[in-house]
Amino acid sequence: MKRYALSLAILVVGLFWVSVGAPVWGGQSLLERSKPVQPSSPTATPDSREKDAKVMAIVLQNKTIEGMLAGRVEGRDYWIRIGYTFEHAESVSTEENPIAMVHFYFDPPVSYAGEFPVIVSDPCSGHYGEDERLDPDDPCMKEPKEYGSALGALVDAQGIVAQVDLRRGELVEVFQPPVAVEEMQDIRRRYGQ
Amino acid sequence: MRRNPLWLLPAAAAVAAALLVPALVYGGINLQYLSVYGDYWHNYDFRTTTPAVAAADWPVTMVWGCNANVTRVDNYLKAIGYPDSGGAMYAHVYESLYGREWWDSDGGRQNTCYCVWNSAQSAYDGYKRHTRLYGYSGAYLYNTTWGYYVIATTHYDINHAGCDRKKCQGGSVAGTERFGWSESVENTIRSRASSDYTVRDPDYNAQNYGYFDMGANYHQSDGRTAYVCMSP
Repeated sequence: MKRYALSLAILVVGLFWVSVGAPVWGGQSLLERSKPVQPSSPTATPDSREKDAKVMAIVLQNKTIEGMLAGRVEGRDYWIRIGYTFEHAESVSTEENPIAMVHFYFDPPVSYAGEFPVIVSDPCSGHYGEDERLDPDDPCMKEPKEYGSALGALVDAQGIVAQVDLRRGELVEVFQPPVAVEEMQDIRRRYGQ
Repeated sequence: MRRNPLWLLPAAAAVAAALLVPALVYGGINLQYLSVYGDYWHNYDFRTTTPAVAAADWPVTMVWGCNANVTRVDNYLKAIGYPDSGGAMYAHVYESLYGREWWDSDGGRQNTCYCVWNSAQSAYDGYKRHTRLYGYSGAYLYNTTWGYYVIATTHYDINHAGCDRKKCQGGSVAGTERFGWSESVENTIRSRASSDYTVRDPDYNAQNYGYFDMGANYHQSDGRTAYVCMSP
């Protein structure tokens, strides 16, 4: 009888761990749904069409992005993937994902000159440790970034990332990432027309 | 007296479920303790010796096999332009030869800082490729498929301390720090290694597929490791 009682106790503790302990340990807020491992649509959250439309409206207001895409057909000449993320890794479970990252993949590559939004200075630059993370108590996370624009000229760019800060309702930065061939092919295979 | 072991079943089920659930949460990180031809290892390295998704650092993207060991791969990387070391992280492995698990620690190798023109921002960014190497007890793992082998994670450090926009072009602006793009770094290293060794890519399914942003980090993995055979 004692053994069955012990077993039952372990089961109860295990169920508590599964439902509450492990998700919290894993960094997930119990107030939000877990995020899908492999999204079935181009966006990180399949039910966020309205949010995606808002993000794209902000991105396409930028004349350079608009000019870059002129004459190109989505699904044939370029592909888009939108991901939602947090400002800093340390704030993952404490706030909504306020940053939209719009990943553009181009084939053929893009060459275009124009005025791009840039982050002029980030108070957290130089603060990241050897583990590529910020100290959770670093005050830099509460200091404002300085935003601006710069004349840029893309030459045969295979991809760009446009960062939208949804709290500001603005496209705040465009940068060129080191796109891997596998990533480009995979996106085309999944989201191509 | 013969005892009925059935009383252990609920407890075993609870323990098994508890081990499985962390793999299902936290962004897109699919943390798994993989059974790999007799050995076991987690498909990410960790910032601490805690096998939790919240502590996961970068995906395992490469396997160096055919008489590989950490020192040999380390020396090879030094010879092909990776002279610098980096901050240490941890990998959790189980070596079937010894029947033991081990938390291995490695700072890995980084190439010399180089500058990449960021044409959207009309400025140079500082880049470093970084790979960390892990085996049992800092040496190697062994199975009959890959022989003596080493697992590796890869990522870029962009505008990280000591290799930033200031170093590349002077001035006072360090540039935005970003990290990740593991697949791109894997491609660069295995492409260089293919001139000296036999390479297969994509190879083993490490189940760490995903393209997503996490703060300043970009998780980029096709889910399959590149294999470099260092034979003879």
